[in-house]
Amino acid sequence: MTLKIDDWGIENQISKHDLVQLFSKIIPENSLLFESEDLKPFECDGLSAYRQLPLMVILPETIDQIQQILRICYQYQIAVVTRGAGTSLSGGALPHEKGIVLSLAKLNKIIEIDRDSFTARVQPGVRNLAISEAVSAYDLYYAPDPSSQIACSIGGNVAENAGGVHCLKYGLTVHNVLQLKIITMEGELIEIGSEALDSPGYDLLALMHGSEGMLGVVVEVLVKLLVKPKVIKVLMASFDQVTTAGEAVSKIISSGIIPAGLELMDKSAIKAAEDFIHAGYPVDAAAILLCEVDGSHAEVDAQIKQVQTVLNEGGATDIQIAEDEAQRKTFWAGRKAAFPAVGRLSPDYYCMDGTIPRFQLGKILRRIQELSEQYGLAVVNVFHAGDGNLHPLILYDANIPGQLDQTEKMGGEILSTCVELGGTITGEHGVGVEKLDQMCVQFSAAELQQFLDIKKAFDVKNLLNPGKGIPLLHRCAEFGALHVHHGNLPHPELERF
Amino acid sequence: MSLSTENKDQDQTEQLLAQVQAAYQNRQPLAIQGNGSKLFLIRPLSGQPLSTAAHQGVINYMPSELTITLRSGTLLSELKQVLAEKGQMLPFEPPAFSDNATIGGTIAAGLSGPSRPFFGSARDFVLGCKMINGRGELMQFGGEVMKNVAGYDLSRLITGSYGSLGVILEISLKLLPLAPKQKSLSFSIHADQFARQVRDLYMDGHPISAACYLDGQAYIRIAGSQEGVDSSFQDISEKLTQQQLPSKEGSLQEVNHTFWSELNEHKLSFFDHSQPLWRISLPPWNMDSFEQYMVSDDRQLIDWGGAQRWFYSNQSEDKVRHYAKLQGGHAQLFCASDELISISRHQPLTTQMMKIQQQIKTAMDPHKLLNQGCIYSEL
Repeated sequence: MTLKIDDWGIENQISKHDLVQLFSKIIPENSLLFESEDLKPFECDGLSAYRQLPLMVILPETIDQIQQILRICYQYQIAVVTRGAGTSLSGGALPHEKGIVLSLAKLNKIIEIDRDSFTARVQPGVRNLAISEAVSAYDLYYAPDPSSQIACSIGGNVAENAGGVHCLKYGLTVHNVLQLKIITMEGELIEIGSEALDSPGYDLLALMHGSEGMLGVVVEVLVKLLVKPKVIKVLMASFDQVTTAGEAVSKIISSGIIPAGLELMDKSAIKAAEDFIHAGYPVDAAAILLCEVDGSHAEVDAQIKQVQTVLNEGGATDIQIAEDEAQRKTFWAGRKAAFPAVGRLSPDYYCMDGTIPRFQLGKILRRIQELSEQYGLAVVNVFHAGDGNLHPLILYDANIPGQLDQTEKMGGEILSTCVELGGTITGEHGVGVEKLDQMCVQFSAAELQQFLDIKKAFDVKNLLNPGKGIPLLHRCAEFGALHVHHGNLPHPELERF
Repeated sequence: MSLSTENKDQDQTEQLLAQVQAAYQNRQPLAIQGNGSKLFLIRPLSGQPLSTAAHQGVINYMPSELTITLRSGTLLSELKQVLAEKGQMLPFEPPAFSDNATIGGTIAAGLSGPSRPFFGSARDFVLGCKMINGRGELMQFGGEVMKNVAGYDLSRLITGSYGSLGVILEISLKLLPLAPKQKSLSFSIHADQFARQVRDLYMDGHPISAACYLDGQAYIRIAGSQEGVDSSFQDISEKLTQQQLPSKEGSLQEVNHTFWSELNEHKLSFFDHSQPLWRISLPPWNMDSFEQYMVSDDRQLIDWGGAQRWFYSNQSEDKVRHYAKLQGGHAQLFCASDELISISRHQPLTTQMMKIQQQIKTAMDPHKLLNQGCIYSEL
C-alpha cells in the first residue's frame, strides 16, 4: 500500500452515531450500511491495489433523498464519494475514511426513449450496454463503448468521460450527452445542457464530463443515440514489426479514412488473447491491427478496398476480412478479452492509460521496452491505436514485497514519457488517486490552482470526492515536480492545506 | 510528418501576457477581440482594447494525426486553405461572417455551421488551448491528442465564452478528411414533412452532412466515397419517387455546393431582411413546422435537420423565447437593430445556473476584467 492521500483538511462536525441517526430519517435501514463487514464490498473500485473503508455507504433511490443527504453532508462537513458501478481503473471511487460513499446503484432506470429525437433519458446507475440493448429494436445504439460496458454505469461514464474502441469516429461520452441533471454539494438540483444541441451561457456540460465526481452528483443523463450502421466489416492485419503496424495506423488515417475502430495488439497480447478466447489470431505475428469500417454497403465496400491497399503497401504480412458477423464478433472478442486474458498470465497486472500523438508510437514502444528490461517487469501492449491511447499492462505479483512499488514507479515513468512526447497521462481512465503525482508533471502550479478554483466554484467546502483528480500544490512540491514560474507560487495569499 | 509555418514575429504571447498582467495590477477592464467579425453577437464591450489579431501562425499541423495547433489571430480563411491543401477540413464548418474572421474569434463565439448535427459542434473538435486567465497567468489545457481526461476540460469550457473567461492564445483542433465526393440535392416538400423525411433518409444509412428547408424546398448534402455517394443519390432518388416526392413541380435536383456556404454566411436572399433575426436551437430532428407561431411577415429557415431555426420576426422577445421553450429549446437574438441592443442576446438563465456561472467567471477572472458582461450583464 503506497497510496498517499492529500489531506484536504476536512473535519467532520458530527459523530458517526449522530450521522446514522440523521440519515436513517431519510432512507430505509437496509440502504444505510455502516458495519465494517457491510462496507467491505465498497472498499475499492477497479483499481484494487488501493483499499479504504468509508465511514458509511448510502444507497438512495430518489433525487430527493440525494438532495437531503448532500445537505446534511454540507452542513456537517462530510466528504462524499459518489459511486456508480465501481469499475474505475484509477481509484476514482476509492472511499474517504471520514466520508460517505454515495452509491447510485439503485438509480438504474431508463426513464424515456425518444425515437423521434434519437435520445434516451436515463438514471445514472444504468449500465452503458443496457442503453444500447434497450434501443436496439429501433435500430439505434449508444456509441461510447468502454471495455467495461457490460458493467460500468452511465453516471460513471460522465464522471470519467469514458471512451472505448469507437471514439475516433463517434466521440467520447462528452460528444454523446445532451443534458445532465446534477445535484450540487449544497443539495441544489441543476439542469446542465438542454434537450437542444446547444445551451446558453458557459458550456458546463463539457466541464462536467471527466470531472471525476468532484463538481456535482450526476442524477440523470440525456444521451444521444446513433443509427446503427447498415454494414460493419472488420479486417485483421498481421505485421512482423510492431512499429510497422503503428505506422500503418497513420497511413490509414492519412488516406482519408476514419475507421469506426482501429486497435493494435502486440505479440504478447495476441498470444494471451488467443490462448484465452481462440479468436483465430496469428500467434506468430509481432502485432495485429483490427480495423473496423461501417456505413452503407457501397461506402463500406469502397473503404475496405482502400484499407486493404494501404495495409498491403504499409507492410502487412497477412490480411483477413471477417467473413460474417460471427467471425467479426470473434475477432473483437479477442481484443475485448485482452485484459482478463492477461490476468491469466500473471497474479496481478497494472493497466496504464497514456495517450500520445500517433506518430510517436515507435518511440513510446521502445521506451516501454527499455523500462520493462530495466525494472524486470513484463509488459503487454494493447492500444486504441486510432486515437493514440495506450494501455500497457505491467505484469507483477503483489505478494512479492516491493513489486507493486516498482510497478507504479515504472508506470509513472511511462506516463512522464507520454507527456514528453506531446501526449497526456490519461486518455480515458481518469486521474483518480492513481495519477495525482503525474498531474504535477503535466500541469504548472498556476494551472493546478485554476482547477482547484473551478472546483471551489461548485463545491466551496471541497467535500465532493476530495483527494481525487487534482493534486494539492504541496503534494507536487514534495513530489519534486511543481512547475513554478518565475519562482513564484500562484496566489501566495491563499492558504495551502 | 508535421507542417510548421511558425514565424516568431507573429508570436505576441509576451506582449499579450504583459498587457493582461498590467490590467490585473491596475484592475483595468479589457475589451478582447480578434478582428471584430463576431462583435455583433454580444453586448457592447467596454474597457481597454486588447487585440489578438497580430498573434498569428500555424504552430503545428500534423495531417496524419488529424490535429492542428495555431495562434488565435490566424485568419479562418487561411486555416481553411492550409487544411484543404492536405485534403482536410474543420468538421464543424464555422461561419466567418467576414473575410478577416480569426480562429480565436471563431472558438470564442463557438458557432457551428450546417454540418453540426452530423459531425459535431465547435467545442466537440477543440482538443486543447493556451490562454491567459484574468489574473494574467499563462495556462495550457488539453493537448493535441484525441483523448485526454487529465484535469478539468477548460479548453471546451472557454469555447463559446466570448473571451470572458480568458484570452485565447492558441487552439488545438481535431480535423477530419474532406470527403472524396459530395452531392447537394433539393426536392419539394412541406415544412411539416421536412425533418421526418430527412430523418428517414438518415436512418436508411445515407451519409447526410447537411439538411435544411427553405420556401417549400428541402436541401440535403451527402458526403462520402465516390461509390457511397453515387449509390445514395440513386437510392434517395428512387425512394422519393416511390413516395411521390418530389412533387410534380420537379424532380430531385442537384444544386451547387455554394448553397451551403451562402446559408452559413447568411448570404442567401432569405437573410436580406431588416427585422430582428433569432437563432432558435431545438432538440435533434424537431419536426414542428413553427407555422402556428408565425405571424404576418415572419420568415423561417429550418437548418440542422430541424434542430436550428433562423427566424425573422418582430414578435416580442418573450414570445420568441416562449416558442423555443415550448419545443424544448432556447432562442438567441442573433442580429438586431441598435434599439434592441438592451435586450439580453441569450435566453435568461435560472437563478441557480446564473450563480454557478458567476462563480466560474470569478474562478477564471476574479476582478471581472475580461469582456465583462458580453454575454450576460452578470458575467
